[in-house]
This record gives sequence, structure tokens and C-alpha cells, in this order.
Amino acid sequence: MSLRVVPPLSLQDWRLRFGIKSAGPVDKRQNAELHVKSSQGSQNTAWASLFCRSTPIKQTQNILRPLQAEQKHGHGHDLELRIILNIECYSTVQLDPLPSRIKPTVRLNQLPLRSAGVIDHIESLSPSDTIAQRLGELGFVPGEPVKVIAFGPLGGDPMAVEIGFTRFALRCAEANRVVLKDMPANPNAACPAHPHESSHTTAPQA
Amino acid sequence: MSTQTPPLAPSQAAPLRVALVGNPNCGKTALFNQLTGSRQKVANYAGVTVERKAGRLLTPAGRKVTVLDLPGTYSLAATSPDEAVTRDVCRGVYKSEPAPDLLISVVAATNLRLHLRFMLELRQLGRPMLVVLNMVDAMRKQGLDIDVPRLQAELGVPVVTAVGVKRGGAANLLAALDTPIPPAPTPLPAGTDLHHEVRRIMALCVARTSERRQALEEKLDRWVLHPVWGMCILFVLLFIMFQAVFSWAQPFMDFLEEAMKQLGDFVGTLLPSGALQSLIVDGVIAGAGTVIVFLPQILILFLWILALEESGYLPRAAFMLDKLMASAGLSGRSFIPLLSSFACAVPGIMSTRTIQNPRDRMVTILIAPLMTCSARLPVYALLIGAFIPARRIGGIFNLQGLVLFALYGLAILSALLVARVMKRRDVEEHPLLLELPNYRLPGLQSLAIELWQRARIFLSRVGSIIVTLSVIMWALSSFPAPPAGATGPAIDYSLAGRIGHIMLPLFLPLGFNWQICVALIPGLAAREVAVSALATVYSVGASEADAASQLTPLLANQWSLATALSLLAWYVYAPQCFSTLAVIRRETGSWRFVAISAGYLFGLAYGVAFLTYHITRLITG
Repeated sequence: MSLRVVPPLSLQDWRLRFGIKSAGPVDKRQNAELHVKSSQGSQNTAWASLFCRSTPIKQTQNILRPLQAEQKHGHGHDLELRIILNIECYSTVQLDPLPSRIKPTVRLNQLPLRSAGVIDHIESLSPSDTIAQRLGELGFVPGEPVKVIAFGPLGGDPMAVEIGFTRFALRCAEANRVVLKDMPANPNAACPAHPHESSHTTAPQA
Repeated sequence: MSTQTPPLAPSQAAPLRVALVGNPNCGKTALFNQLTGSRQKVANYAGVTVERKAGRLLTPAGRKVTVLDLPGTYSLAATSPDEAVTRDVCRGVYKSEPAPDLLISVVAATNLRLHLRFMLELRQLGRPMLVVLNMVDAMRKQGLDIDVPRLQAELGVPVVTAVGVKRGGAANLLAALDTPIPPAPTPLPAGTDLHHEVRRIMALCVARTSERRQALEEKLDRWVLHPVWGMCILFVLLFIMFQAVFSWAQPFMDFLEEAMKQLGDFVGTLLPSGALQSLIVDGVIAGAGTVIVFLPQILILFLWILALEESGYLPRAAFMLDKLMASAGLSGRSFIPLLSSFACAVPGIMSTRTIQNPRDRMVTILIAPLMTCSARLPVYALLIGAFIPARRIGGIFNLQGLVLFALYGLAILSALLVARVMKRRDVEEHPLLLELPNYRLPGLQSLAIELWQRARIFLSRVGSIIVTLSVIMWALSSFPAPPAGATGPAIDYSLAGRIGHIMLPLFLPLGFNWQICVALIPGLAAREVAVSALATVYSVGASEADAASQLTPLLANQWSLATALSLLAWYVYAPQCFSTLAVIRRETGSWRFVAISAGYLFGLAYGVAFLTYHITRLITG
């Protein structure tokens, strides 16, 4: 079992992918404390900055690298990732050993300007996520094509998207809930499989 | 759900109750105005209507109908107070009012994909309904064609077409109201994917006659939403607005001022010298006249705001400024209520009902009075006119316009800071989710009607509140008459003079004189009155006959620059408006918020005016 980190992987990606409870909008720079530890007890802690638009975070990799090394030597189990935002809310998640889950999905806020995508699904951050529900009512439903019209000034938040005949202004945290279908010609092709790492992923967890 | 509505035509006595329901900005209010002949506000952004409005009409066949205009909503799962009103009325639980006999689902033909979904959601309520396909003219321009009979068959409810913004555009709907109420449709099985259903219906009924035409939005938005050019456009638009308020209005103001002076002189010669002459000339004409002079400026400000509202630009401005709002812990949603507060804080505070997050809404309500409302314009204009030279800067900018722009800017900046402080511990997510409507050229006729209404409101305010207060002010500053053998000016012995002198110690640190103190009191009822009160106080006290119409040079002689700037700063913040406080009470339902807003505004006003006065004195020496 292994953890494959494919750059660029933003902290926000992690937060959403693993369903960590929303701790407020990550729409400004926030400091976050990252704890990564394996069940063997090796730990690593670092401070990282969170950015809105999925800026890759080098520190993430720096933390994870020693753990990966540990795994390569065959005694890594039950890797646990814990992200503590500077706001008290945090959650502990269990990393899924399957690499497919770790492959970054493209989200609406990651699309470049004037490019289009097709909605795969809307991700709710909690069972009662009214924003996700409202997105659905506004027509953000699976199969619907969306196009990025504009990014706002200063940091590109909010963004304007076109869906059908309607144009909407969304904040990036809202757009992040919109998961897009994998395009064959993904411009964000910065995630080729790392062969030596994926070789560790064959055995599913018992 | 209370009772099942009778499917038959109701008796002549009880009017038919119908409700206009639909997505935001689909033209419900335009239809409502068409049907009932009323003039509710219509604009081009989501959330213009925030409360349930009722009107009456008589159909061509003589049937009495009560029409309810409901706030627009995307879904019956309401997320904000205005949407909750719509949900409750449709379900028949609004203030124990029975559900309407007929739901009129208004659907914009230009945005069927979104609007039909909500229509289907309404249909699930299983009440009699009628679909109005609005904006069919715009739809044809977009190169779309809808097979109405087919749509009617697929939806299982009657469909009529309409053009809400054109005269006679609701004729089909009126005719449909004369037919018996259609039977309630059978709801789709629970759990049906409404989006899927919409797609199925659209595939059957909508045909594209020509290439897709959204070129205008596409081209304009490229500039308007551009991170750099968009900001430039926004800034230039606002800047021209404030320049225009001063430059364009000047000839009209000169004319009005001259007319008021002539009127005062004329009445002065007509009446015998004495208390009556003083009342009419110093009280009514000097008081109301000084305020009326500002009508052109107020109308120009409104012309800009209305044109921006109609064009569909406002939500885009909200988009551009969202980052700024976010830095204050608010969302772009707060932008439109705050912008309407530039006209008047009362409708601005009411339109905060479109804000979903209750905390955001409260903070927006608290900072709305900081937005420079049009009632402050006379005070600003008077003081700027008296103390700031009308110089040109760089050949194009009017210095007076620049100062006005700065005052508005100061208010906005303070509002953002106050919001930031109030929301410092807030970690919640603030949704934006704002629809950017299609652009529309503002109609000259509707602009003219709206402007005329504004002018009427302003003039009736002058005619009622301002004249009354001016007369009271005149009485206070004329009586009691000075004792025989008194040496000082007569007004020093009057009630107003005494009140002013009592208040003076409190306001002396701000550089205010006792005349200003007196003028502050009636300003509580309506801010503009401060101007007329100053005119009255000074004209009663003055020896020359025509002092009333010459308030500007008089102030320039009597006050120091520091005093004028201090009063301007005071007016940026001071909570001098009873109606604003009353609407805060109504919208928040608590006196606590009234106390908080009055308290912090007074504190800010006092502090900033104090600083302004002393800093200006240090600089000017």
C-alpha cells in the first residue's frame, strides 16, 4: 500500500477529496498545520499556506516524502493524514490505498479562462450543504457543459461561468464543489503516473 | 396545506386570487405592473422584489382578480427571507393566508433550462397553474423558437406567451384569466429528476432557427469582467457619475436658485413687513427653497443609478467588487443592497432580504446607513459649494466633484472597516452564487417614469416634512422676541438660540457653532432639513433681506474651513434619520440593533469630526 503524491496537489484538493469537514472558506491565505503520521508512529508536521485557487504546495510533498520512503521499505501501513486548519475545526481521514482515488480530479475553479468542461457531479461538503444543493437548482447538474467567462480581479476570485444561457458569478470555494468529467485532452496533464510509485499499489488492503 | 382550491370559477363576489411565481429576473414585476397598472420597481438584476405585493385588476370579461407579486426564487427550498415568503405563499402557509387559487408560473423564454425546472418544482405542489412564457421577443432575437402547443401538452398546464415590458404584452394572460381555472396537474412521481425532465421537454419543444446569438454578452463581458479593464470601467462609471452630479446640474441649479431668490423678493415686497412676511420669506421660502435647489443633482444621481440597474451592469459590478467585500467578511450579495442605499438606506435595508446568511444580513443592515444617501447630497453640495473652489484639476476634473467622490469613498471605506470589525471572528462560508443577467438597453420611457416618481417623492418631502420643519425652525428662532433695549442679535434671545447655546459645549470640540447645533436637530427627521434649518437660522438672524438665497457666501464668510470639513465628516457618519432607524427595527425585529447602529454611528461621527477639525486647524494654522 502506498501513497502516491502527484504534483500539483493542492491542500484544498486534499481537504475536499477526503471529505474533511468544511472549516470555512479557503478564500484567502490561511495558515494550516499539516500533521502526517503513519501507524508506525513516524510523524511529520509543517506549516503550509493555503491558497484559494489550488496553488500547489511544496511543503505537502516535503512532509510526505519521508513517509513514502518508509513505505518503500515495506513497513508503512494505515497512513493517516490529518489536516488541521488554523481554525479549530479538523478531521482525521484514512487515506484510501487505491491510487485512483488519489488522482486529482479537475474542478470548475481549476479550468483556465475561456475553456469549457462537462460537469461530472457536485460534491457536498456536508450532508446539509445548502450551497451544493443550490448549485444543483441553478442548473449545475451532471452532464451539463460549463464555460469559464472571467476571473475576478486580484487573485481570480470570484469567477464567472456560463452554463446554458445563464451566467453566474461564483466564488472559488463554490466552484470547487463542481467536479468535472475527465477530458481526454486534459490541459492540466501535469499528473503522469510515476511508475515506481504506482507499482506499490497493486495489493488492495486486506 | 389547508384546503383544496375549488376548481370551478369562483363567484363574482370573491375575487380570484392568483400569484406570480418564478425565477429571479424573469419579469414577474413587469407583468404585475402591466396587469394591475401599478408602478412597482422593475430593474435588471435578481432580487428587485423582496416582499409580497398585491394588486387588483378587472379582466376584459369583468372578473375581479387579486394578483400577488412574489419575490423570485430558484427553488422552493428557500435559503433567504425573501425566498421564504414565496415558498410560504405557494404552500398556503403564509400568515395563515390560503394558497392562491391559481399559480402563474412566469418563465423567461430566454432561459428555459433554468426556469422550467422551477416551474416543474411548482407543478409538484399539485395546485392549479398557468405558465406564462415571458420575453418571447428576446427569445426570437436569440434565434430560438418554442413550440407552444407542444410545450403545453408536455407540461400538462396551459401556456400563454407574453412580453412583460411592452404595452399590451400581457394581453394573452389577461384573456387566459377569463377562462375557468385549469384543473390541477398530476404531480410527477416523487424522486423524478427534474433536470432530466427539463432536458426531455426542451429537446421536444425548442428549435434553434439561427445560430446561437449571445455575441453581445460575450463581447461586453470580455471587457466588463476583465480583471484590469473591468475595474477601469467600474471606476470611470462611478467617477463620471459624481462629476456629472456637479457639472451637469449646475445650470439647472443656478436657474432654481435665481427663481427662489426672485420669489422671495417678490413675496417680500408683496407682504407688509412683520411676522407674516418673516414667516413666508425666512421660514418657508428660505427653508424649502434651499432644499429644492438640489433637485437637479438628486435627479442626475438617480438617472445614473436607474440606468445602471436597468442595463444589467450592477451584478457585474458586484462581481468585480466581490474580493473587496470578501475582505470585509461580506459577499458580493451585499453589494446591491449597499448600492441601493446610495439612493436611500430604507429600500437598501429592505433589499438585504436577498442575503441568505443571517449574520451577513445583519452586518449589511448595520453598515447600510454609512452609504451616502441622496438626502446627504444637499448638505455636501452646500458645503462643498461654499468652501471648495470650482477649480479644474488636470483640465478635466472638477475639484468639487473630486471632493464629493472622496466623501463617498470615505463612507465606503469606513463601511468595509466596520464590517471587518464586526465579522472578525466569522469563519463561515459566504456564498455568492449571483446570476449575471443579459444586458438590456435602458428604456427611456421607464427611466422617465422612475425619475418623475423620484422627483415627486422629493418634492412632496419638501412640501410636507421640510416646510413644516422649516416653519417650526422659523418659529423657534423668531420667538421669544428680544427684550426691549437688547443689544445683541435678536436670534440670540430666541428658543433656537438658547437650545443651540445649550448644545454648544458638546459640539464645540468639533468646531461647530451654535447655529449648526440648532440645525442638527431637525436634521434627525430628514437630513436635508439641516440645510434649510441653517438657511432659516441665518436669514432670521441676518439684517439683509435677501440673505436667505445667499447661504453659500454667508457660510463661506462665517465658518472656517475646519468647521466645514468637520461638519462634512460628521454627516458622513451621523445616524441622523429616523426612518432608517425605524426600518432597522422592522427588519431585524430588535431594538438592540437599532441601539448598536445609532451608537456606533454617533461615536464614529463624533470621533472623525473631532479629528478632521483639529487636523485641518493644524494644517491651515
